[in-house]
Amino acid sequence: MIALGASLILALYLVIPGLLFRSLSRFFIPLRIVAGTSTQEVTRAFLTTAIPFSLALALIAHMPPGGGGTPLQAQAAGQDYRLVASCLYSEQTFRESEPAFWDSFGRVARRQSRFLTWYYALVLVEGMLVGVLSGYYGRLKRNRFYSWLADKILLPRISEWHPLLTPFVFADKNTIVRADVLTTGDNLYRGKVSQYFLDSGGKLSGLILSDTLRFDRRSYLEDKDAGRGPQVGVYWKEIPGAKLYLFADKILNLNLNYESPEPSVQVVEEFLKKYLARTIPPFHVEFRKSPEFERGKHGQENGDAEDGG
Amino acid sequence: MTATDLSKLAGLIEEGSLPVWLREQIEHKGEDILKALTNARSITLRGPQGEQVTIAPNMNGKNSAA
Repeated sequence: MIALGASLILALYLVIPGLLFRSLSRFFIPLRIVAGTSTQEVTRAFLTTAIPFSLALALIAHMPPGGGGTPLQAQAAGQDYRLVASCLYSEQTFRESEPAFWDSFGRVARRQSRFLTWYYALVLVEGMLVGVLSGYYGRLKRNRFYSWLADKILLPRISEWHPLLTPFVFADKNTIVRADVLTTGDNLYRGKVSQYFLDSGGKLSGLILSDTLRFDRRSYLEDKDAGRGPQVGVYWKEIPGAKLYLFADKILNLNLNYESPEPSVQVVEEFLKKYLARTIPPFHVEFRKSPEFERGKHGQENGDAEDGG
Repeated sequence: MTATDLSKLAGLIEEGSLPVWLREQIEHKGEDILKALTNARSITLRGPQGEQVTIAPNMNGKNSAA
């Protein structure tokens, strides 16, 4: 009986709130499913639910009905809990005071359902808050406190594929993720990552590329062998069809590039310093958006440069 | 993924995440950029859609990203 009671308490106060939290936060951010030990799972659930649990306790204690009762009512409630616990522990006590047990059990159940309603609602609010805050990672990651919060609390279990295959880490969500994919059939594809899929264990199961090109390796090698001095660029051929689905188990490797329409000034400065690889006079970078971009159009032609005074 | 990996991964992803046109221009005009900055002049790189990136010398002797 006591084992049944303990299991019920564990399920109602830890397992269900943990599942509620995960299901809601996963709605915003895909989390990697890590099968931990029972102790790890309980610890994780405890950490997730500690704040909503404390808040629900405080709310129940101060809000009617039931809250802020007289000392006599509190004493009666205490007696109810003691009787229920004793009857759960000992079958003999249960038999001796069965009618009183069911009265007390009814009152305890009513009080606990009120508490659980608040508790679950607060867990859902916490899950939504964590999800929404995680969505601002690209904008807020340079803030030290937020970065710490994201690393330790908000996103320690995020699937690594989400930051890799989406513009998640960029403030500008129009950033394009472009992938060169080498498959087991020795084919090389290039395209924009439109969508990706994870299996139940959080592993990549496939991805969809759009605007896809295939590298015509056979012609390239023939021309190379014939000494025609092939230019790599011309061997990229368009693939008819809007989307190309690639099964993850057919992917040998992925070469990922991120193209932000509005490059971060810091990234430009870091790239310049790295590319020039020598001492350069102190400088700053200013970016001005294109009128076309402001109207939501994009293009990929090359531009030119000019000197200023 | 451990707790510290996301910020590391984010740094890695962001590193060099430039539009193709800007990356190509920096690679082609690296010497021009260096020359302009050495001579205390600014240089403007223009994108295909009219976007502009101006690289200008800092008169206070400090990099803005530093």
